[in-house]
Amino acid sequence: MVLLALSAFALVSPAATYAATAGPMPRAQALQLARDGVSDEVIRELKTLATRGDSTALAARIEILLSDASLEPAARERALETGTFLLGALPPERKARQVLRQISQLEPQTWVWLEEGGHRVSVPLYDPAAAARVSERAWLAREAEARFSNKLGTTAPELVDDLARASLAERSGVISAIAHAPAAQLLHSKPSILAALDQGVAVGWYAAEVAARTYDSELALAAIEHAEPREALDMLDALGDRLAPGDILPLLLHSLRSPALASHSLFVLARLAPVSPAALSQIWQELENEENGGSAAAALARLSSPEAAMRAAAVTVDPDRDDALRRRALLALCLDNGDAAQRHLQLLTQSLGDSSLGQKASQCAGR
Amino acid sequence: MRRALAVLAMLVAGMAAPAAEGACRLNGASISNPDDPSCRDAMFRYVESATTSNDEVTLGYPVPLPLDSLTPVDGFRTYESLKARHQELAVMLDTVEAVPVGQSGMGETIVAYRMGDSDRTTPLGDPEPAVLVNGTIHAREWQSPEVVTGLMEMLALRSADGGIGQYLSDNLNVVILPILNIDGFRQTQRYPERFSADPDQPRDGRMRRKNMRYDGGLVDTDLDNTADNFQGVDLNRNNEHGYGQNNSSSTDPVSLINRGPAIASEPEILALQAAAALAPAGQLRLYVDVHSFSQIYFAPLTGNSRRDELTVQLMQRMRAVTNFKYRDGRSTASGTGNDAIGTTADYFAYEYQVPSWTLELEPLNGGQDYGGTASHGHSGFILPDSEIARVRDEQAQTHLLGFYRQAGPPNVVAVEVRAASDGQVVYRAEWTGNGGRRSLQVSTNMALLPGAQYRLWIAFSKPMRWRDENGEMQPFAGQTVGADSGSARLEFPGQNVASLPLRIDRAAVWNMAPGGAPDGYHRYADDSLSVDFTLPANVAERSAQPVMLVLDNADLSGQKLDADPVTPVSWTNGHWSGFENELGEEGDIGGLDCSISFFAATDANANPPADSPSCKPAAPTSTGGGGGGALLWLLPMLAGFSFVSARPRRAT
Ligand SMILES: [Zn+2]
Repeated sequence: MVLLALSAFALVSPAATYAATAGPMPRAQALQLARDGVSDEVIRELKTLATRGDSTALAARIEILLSDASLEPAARERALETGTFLLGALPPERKARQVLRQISQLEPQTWVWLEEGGHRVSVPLYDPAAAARVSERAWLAREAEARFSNKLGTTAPELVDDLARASLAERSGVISAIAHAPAAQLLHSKPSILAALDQGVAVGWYAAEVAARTYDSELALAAIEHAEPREALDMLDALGDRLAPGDILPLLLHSLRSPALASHSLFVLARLAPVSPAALSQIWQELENEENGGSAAAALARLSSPEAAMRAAAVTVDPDRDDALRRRALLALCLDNGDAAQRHLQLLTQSLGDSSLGQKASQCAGR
Repeated sequence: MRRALAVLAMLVAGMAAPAAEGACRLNGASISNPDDPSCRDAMFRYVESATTSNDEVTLGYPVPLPLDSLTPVDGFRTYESLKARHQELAVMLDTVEAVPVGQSGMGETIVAYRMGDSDRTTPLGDPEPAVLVNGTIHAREWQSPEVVTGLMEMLALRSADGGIGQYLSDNLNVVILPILNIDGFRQTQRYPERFSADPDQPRDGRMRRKNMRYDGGLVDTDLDNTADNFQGVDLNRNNEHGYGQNNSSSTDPVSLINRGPAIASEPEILALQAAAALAPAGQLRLYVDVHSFSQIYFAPLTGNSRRDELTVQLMQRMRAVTNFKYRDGRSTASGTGNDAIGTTADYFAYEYQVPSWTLELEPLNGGQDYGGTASHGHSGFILPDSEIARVRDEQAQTHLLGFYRQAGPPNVVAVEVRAASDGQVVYRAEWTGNGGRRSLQVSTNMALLPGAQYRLWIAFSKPMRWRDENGEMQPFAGQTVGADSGSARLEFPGQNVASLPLRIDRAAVWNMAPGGAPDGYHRYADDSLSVDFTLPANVAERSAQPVMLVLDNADLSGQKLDADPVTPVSWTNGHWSGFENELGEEGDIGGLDCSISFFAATDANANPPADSPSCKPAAPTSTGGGGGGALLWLLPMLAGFSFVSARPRRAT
């Protein structure tokens, strides 16, 4: 039994960076070791120090933990992880920094089976070092938030360069600062941001965040062009919920021309379509587009309206329309669970017969 | 944006509460106090930032929220848009067929997709082999539907690429079931930031693993309606072969690994079997069940030694694509065939004797691999948005190679020789067949003249080399066969003439443009090569003599030639069949092809010699005697020309 467990462990031993001291164990067993009375007491102590806001005292207590051999490794790791998060919420005093640095060098000691029974592969139950790195980034973020909160509204020449240099953690701080800054003030720096984006400076993320906060369409357009796709998508999502259709539509017309943004943009259009004829008409227009047509079909299906289903059916049967367009119209029906669409689909399977389009229609109807 | 805005909000707040821990008493994969409100009703929320609140769990990166998009994004798509993507491919392309294979407990249609041309026959007339990939059997493993959808997107994109994608479309039936556990997956997407029970054994909401069925009904989708939150069946313990065995599943309905009331009791498992029937199941050569996490191939070894060896070889080839960062998890009770636990990988390994595994995707350890936290060992189910695009691409590459390899070993399909002087075809032959034995149809067979120059064109059954985006010939990621691989020579049996090496170990000989002989590819880019030679002046001085082409080559996954194209390679009982080496012995390795011979004569109008040579030695009982029977000339040649050393070593 022991041999079998050992060989299983050797086979799927953790990555070289993590040397487990003891073999992996069942989670319940590890938790029993970790949640003993002593560590509960230690954690209470840590929390008391944290509540007092005494970063240095908390750090000193954690430092003792680091070499406290009286604690089970699992219990020590549990306390260290908790202490590390607590420390991350306090100001980064010198002692605190020093202790987090130490913790960030630790390797996990307590490995548990990822799955009880079956495939035996182990993962760390706690990873104080990983927690320390997260807390260190939280400090960086808070420092950045403080540093940038007065600066964001200014036309200070170094602002753009600072933003472009910001690490991911610092960006978090800036984003938090944006959330708390008055919208009008944020726009003071707009000209310099737009100019920087034109020159290829990497502040698209900032434009996206400020646009989402201020609804500024120029910044939003710039973000569509220059931000990372996911940043732009999240911005469009946020704006789609907040802007009037007339204000968001011009932005979506731009994002529809970006392959990475077009599909999601069509779903944003679908949200607007019930109240915006222009949005609806744009979806139909995109149905004709080779790149975006599939997503347009999905957007139409989401509307699940009898009118859309009828029109899609009409396009599907029209022999004068091109085959790809007819297929996309068929797709709109396939994806629409509404009664109207399903009725049209049934009729189509009969009228299209055994043509390749007819076969696709019956595949859909079969679902 | 809401993601971004939440980043720090929690940091400064909530200092007094303890770190998130639950009140559930864990009992293996089960919980011994499931009705205790402090366990059952406990709710938690994933947050990005360091938190000390008692109902929050720090991830250390933005909590992924599903996004509507048919096209891939840096992140995870909603169930609705994944489904729309699959159906888009099915409706738009004739090479993708959507087939309903079942219905989930909640009435959603489970759909499998058959990818490849509509016939079930290869261009050489053989029945198409098949592979099956299953996705999203475990609801919370969001990496899986993305990766499996990525395979579909890759195959669709490549289906008319003129190369490897086209080859797969023509020659392989790829059946993909991207989202098996629809009900469970939708439940996780309803609550992308929340879970119930205990951070040490998170359960419903984002962390649901099982389906939504239990004895007596369906799990209610409202997370806060907690009475049934622990219910559901682990679909990966519900299968024949190992069901209820080896201490790895439970009859306890609240267990994470509850095996269900009976073998294949769950509609999802019946749907998977129906998907296999599309292959059809008898044509399967690979099954992959895509999970996360821990970055490993859990490959059951069934005790069928050839199957097990081929499984390991294929796994190693595929692991090499990502530089072995995925681990080798072949079953620990190596080859004893008795450690099955009722997973779908067990089912296909034992039932169909094909390479079969549970592929656990990234991460290796957990979210800490990307700067996040360990989250009590569970953050690995929540891959950061920023990582999934890379994982999709890596796995698309990996499976492209795996599918290509399992489509079958290469063989010579056609050869042509043209005179350099006037372009006249002096030899042309093609292997033809329609599902049974093949025969070599020689349409032209004229004498090659001593001292004259020729262009030799050789076509194989599959693309043999890989090119990067710039068209440069390179070994496929992690593989060894490249421009400088392979050899060929002309032998002059029965004559005292040294063999003539043909320099095919260079990129320039491979044909990447269509057009067939003499300079174009046959069916797929890089499936053929063209090489010039000058016939030695001293051959066939007295009479017409055979010229034998001896070819040593491997496909881009390192699989050697089927030396005897007469018997098409197939897959039987866990191994290749009809896959011979140059001595005519069946095995799993292949060898030199000597099936093509033309002839030389000083007279352009000479008739070909009666015998055609081969690599096979004479039968030991044969007495020879100069007649037309045994090819005694070959025996000294075998010794002289390193045939023996070229013979591949058999796997042990
Ligand atoms: Zn899984």
